[in-house]
Amino acid sequence: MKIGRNLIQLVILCLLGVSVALTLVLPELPGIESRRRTLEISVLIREADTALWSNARLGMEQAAVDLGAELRFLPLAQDNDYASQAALLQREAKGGADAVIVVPADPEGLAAFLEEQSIELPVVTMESPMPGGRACFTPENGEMGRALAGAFLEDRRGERVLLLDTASRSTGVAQRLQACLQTLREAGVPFEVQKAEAQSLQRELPGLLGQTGAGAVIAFDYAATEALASVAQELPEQPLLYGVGATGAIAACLEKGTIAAAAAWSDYAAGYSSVQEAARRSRGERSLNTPQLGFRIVRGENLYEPDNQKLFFPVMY
Amino acid sequence: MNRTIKSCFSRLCIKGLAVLLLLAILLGGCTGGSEREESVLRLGIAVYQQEDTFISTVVQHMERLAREEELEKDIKISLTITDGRSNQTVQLEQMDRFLDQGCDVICVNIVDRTAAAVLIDKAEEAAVPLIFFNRQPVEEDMERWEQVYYVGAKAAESGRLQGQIVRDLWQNERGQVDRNGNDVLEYVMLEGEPGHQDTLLRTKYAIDALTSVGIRVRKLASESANWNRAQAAQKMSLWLEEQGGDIEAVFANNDDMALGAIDACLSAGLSAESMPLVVGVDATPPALEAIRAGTLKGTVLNDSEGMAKTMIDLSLALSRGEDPASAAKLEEGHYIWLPYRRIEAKDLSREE
Repeated sequence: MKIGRNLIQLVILCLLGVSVALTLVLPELPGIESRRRTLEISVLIREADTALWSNARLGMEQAAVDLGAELRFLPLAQDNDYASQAALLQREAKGGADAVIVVPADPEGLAAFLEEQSIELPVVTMESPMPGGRACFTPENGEMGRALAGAFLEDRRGERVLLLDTASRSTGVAQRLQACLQTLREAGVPFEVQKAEAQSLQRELPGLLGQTGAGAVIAFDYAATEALASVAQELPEQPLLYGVGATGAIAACLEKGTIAAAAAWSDYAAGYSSVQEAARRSRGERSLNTPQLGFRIVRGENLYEPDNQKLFFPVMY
Repeated sequence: MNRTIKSCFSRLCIKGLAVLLLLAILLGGCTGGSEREESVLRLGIAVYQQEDTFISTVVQHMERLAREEELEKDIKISLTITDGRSNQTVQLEQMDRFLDQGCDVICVNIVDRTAAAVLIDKAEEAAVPLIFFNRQPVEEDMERWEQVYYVGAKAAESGRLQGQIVRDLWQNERGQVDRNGNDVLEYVMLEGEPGHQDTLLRTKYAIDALTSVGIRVRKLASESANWNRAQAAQKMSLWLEEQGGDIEAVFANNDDMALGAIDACLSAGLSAESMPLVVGVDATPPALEAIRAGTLKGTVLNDSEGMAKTMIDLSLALSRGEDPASAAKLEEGHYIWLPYRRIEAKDLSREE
């Protein structure tokens, strides 16, 4: 009887020991490890100012909460510094990131770098697709460029158009510019393309307008559009201004009429989808078939239509 | 008897061995599990309104400095930044999320400076140090817990320096400033949030800097524009309609509002030379551009980079259990004060 009781106690103790050992070992097994552990996802934008992506960030953070991920936002010290972005990505890969979301300064260069360095990490992009079939969350850039040209054609009074090339290595931005340029060419509108840095646009724009004689300006990325928004009021003869993005500053300018129209889309949805895709890829799951993001041409007069309002103010308190 | 002793002994051995085995597994598990966590500093940063240009600049500096520290010290620093959108309830929820995520230190730019007690109590309960910045909680709340800190600058000083910019312009360029030649500075004041400590102190001390040296002043109008550029532009447009050329100076409690006043002047067709003299506080990048353009006559540098560096250094020290006084100059155990500095056109090359 006593021996029997001892044996039972011993067996129970051993079972407890084995179950503790199992709880320690199980999470380390492949497949199971990544499901249970919080994923580390690094987000590399191509600008120094993360506020440009604040709506996307809201979407990303919500997705991170829903899917058990931790985000690291890594802006660049200088806008469009491709080399720094590549170095950052390499560092994040070495540092144990499970996936990376990138707004690539140079998508082709970055794809070549990843291959060269044999960096095997799920990479999801926003704004520009990267060669190699990696997932990208952006509206169709060519269509956007054509729509911006269309918005100008509705308003034109015979002026020359200045097209700002502020991120030429970003293929997504370049596609917008090229499509817009092509549409203007077909419509017989005189235009000029000028390279500029978004960070110094506030200072340089009056000079560029004087130099080109342009009466309208079209920007193709967030930073350049925000720069237009900040300088709009100071320009002596109000040119027609067009751009992209759904930030607060752009909304304020649309309301005042200093920006005539902007192509806007749900950054929140783009951010959420990119984290969702990054999480799925890092867990070895199949990609979801997310439909292409749409965009809308928004003007002051339709800014507060419900569908447009959601783009600029995705989270209301 | 021998059998009894033997059986007791063998029972003891078996149980003792089993307990030892369990302890060994548990200890081994605990050590292995915590290794990864120690190498990451998780910082939660809750701002009152990310659209505020100064706050956005502080956040940018923090992100940049965090990356530099990572390279230098071979550690990982994860920043989670949330925007309270001027809603204290939202900011409370964001704080809860930081605590759930396991943040090591939380930095808060509080929406309502009288509501700090709740945040402090939550942080104390979770034993997570709390650093307030730029918007100073009331003193009694700061005393609730020893691991609460404030990083900022003394608002009275910013008002004084702003007033001194106008004082010097009045004394050295009287003809341009005193447009109607009546030897009285006629001004309007764009104020920050009503009841905010910075609003009260900057407003008071800016004017005191003039009256204390015998300059006669007359307030034409004064209203709150809530630190906001668009609101300031609206107020200024109205004042320009009502007061027209009578306005000789515009004091704004921050640069965003100063730029709003400039927006209104430009919309009204005034040039940099014909608009009233406008002064702000913060020395944000757009304000420095406006100084270069000649529309803003001066501002007061609120050291956003210094603020960001202090918060990163302090967070690192706190997360390692080090004495916070080793990372920053603490006053009264809780306060780290950063100095303000005047910025005018002649100072601009230093800021570039």
